[in-house]
Amino acid sequence: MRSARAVSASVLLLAAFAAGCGQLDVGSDLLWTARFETGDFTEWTGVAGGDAQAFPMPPNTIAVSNGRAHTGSYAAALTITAGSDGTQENAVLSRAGGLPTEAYYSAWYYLPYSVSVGTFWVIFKFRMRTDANDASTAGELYDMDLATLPSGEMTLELYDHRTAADLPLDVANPIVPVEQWFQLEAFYRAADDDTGRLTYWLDGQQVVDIAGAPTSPTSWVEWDACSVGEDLTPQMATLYVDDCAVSRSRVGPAGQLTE
Amino acid sequence: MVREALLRGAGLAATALLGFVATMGSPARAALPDPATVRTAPEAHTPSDGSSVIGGPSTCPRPDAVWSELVTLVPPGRLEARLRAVTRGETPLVEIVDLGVPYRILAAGQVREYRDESRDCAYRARIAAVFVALAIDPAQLPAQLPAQLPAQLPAPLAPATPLPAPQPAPLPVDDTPPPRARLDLGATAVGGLGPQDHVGQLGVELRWSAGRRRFGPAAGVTALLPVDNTVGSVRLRQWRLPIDAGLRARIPGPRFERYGELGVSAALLSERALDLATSRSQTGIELGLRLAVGLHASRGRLAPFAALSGELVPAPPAIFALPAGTVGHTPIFWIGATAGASLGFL
Repeated sequence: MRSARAVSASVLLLAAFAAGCGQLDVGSDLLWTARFETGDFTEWTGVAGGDAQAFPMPPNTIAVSNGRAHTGSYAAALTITAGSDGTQENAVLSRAGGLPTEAYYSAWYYLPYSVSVGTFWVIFKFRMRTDANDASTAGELYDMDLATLPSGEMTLELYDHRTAADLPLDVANPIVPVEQWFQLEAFYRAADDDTGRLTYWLDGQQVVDIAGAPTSPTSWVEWDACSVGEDLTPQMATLYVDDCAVSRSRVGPAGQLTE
Repeated sequence: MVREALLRGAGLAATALLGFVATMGSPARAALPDPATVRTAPEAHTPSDGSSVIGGPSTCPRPDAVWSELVTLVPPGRLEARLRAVTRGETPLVEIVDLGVPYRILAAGQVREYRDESRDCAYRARIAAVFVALAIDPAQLPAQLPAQLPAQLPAPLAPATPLPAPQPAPLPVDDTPPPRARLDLGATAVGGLGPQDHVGQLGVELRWSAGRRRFGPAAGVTALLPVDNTVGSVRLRQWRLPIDAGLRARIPGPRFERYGELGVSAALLSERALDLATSRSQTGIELGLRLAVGLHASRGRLAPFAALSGELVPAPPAIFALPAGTVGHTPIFWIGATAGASLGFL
């Protein structure tokens, strides 16, 4: 009887040593997230400067779908119908203002099928203001576009509205996967001097780093996870978006937005 | 007069010394040979195992145990010379008689009887060795042994009859046994080692130990100052309060008591992120195994001590922060060094 108790006590002691006390959650570097698990767009629309819209609508739509999600049950489905008529079609989730001068911006995307891009297809965008307090001074800045390679594979292009030209990537023609989730993350520091910086990662791989150059005339920042296109084939393209975050440190492909 | 209590530890040499002092003026002292006449004794010899020097039927202490203690008290060269000087042909020179609670020591014609109700044979051996050392080499009394003797002297028993011996001199004696418990208070420095975390901390350690025998319980608590460190990519302010309980094994010695401890430990651990956008303090428990070695001076109630310790935490807590997730673990191994004062009481 006594030996049985001793064995039980020893087993309990060893189990306690092995189990330890789990983990200590010391906080978060996430400033804002949108996981769409509420089934709507309130994570975007519930904050100052946030918005979720498609225009013109129809034919363009935004919806929260439970058919496909990166984590959890829901993701946003951004659908545009972009013909070759020279019309820009838009489905946009935006955070305008109220963002730090520098931060990491992350979103996960899913392309259900390959799309041939005729003119452009923007999925990740930064905008700026020449006067931070005057909305009428807002303008375009950097667009991260999906493009089509001659092989038919999808790739990335970075467009700078100030020069009206694509910026060369450090990794030429990075392949964007189809039918699987991929992460696009950027570090953006808004500055009108040589402290400005813009860096992009595709699934954790750095594809471009623009440093030591002015990025924005003011510290005001707008970030959009979007589907803005013109002349796509097929014309109707649905882009799924999930697990969006603004963070003070990199999220990375293995990052978590919730415990 | 029969004294019931004898000192342990630091008082053991004093016990024998007092017995020797009492015997110095006895007729047995008169039986000591004149060194001038024995220097040429042809029977002089140098024993290597003591069996020819110390005999008797005693099992507690055993003669060989007394010899082992004796050779630690008297330098080999001097021991050889003194044995040669006092040996007069009788073998063995020293005889130990175990009478139960009392035990009797006959050395170089002198005799003394002590009581030890606990029958601590190692302790008896040391008492006997000191008595023998003084009997065969009185010159040690002022020259060498005093450095090992305590300031307060316990009293021996009166010599056993029929051998004549005077009553012990009425010296001021302290029959207080060694303390039943000790409190160690000291400054401590600890270092934590782990794959993702290295940290050093300073603090104060308080330890308690009990018992007079070779093994006894021990427990301690350490208050460490907060320290900043980095786990993974997260800067943290860490505060730790370890407590432990276990078993202390003692090895008494004439100057120092050495000890080792083995036990279990639990540390209250508090971590607070310093640079995250949203920080919060979290408190957890670390469970581990603790091993320590140390020593403290044998003499006096208040004695200096020093100790080294190691603590293994097999499953240290994970540090979790969004968006990175688990950025690392707190140290898996802690080492520490402590020095301070040890107070005996009870």
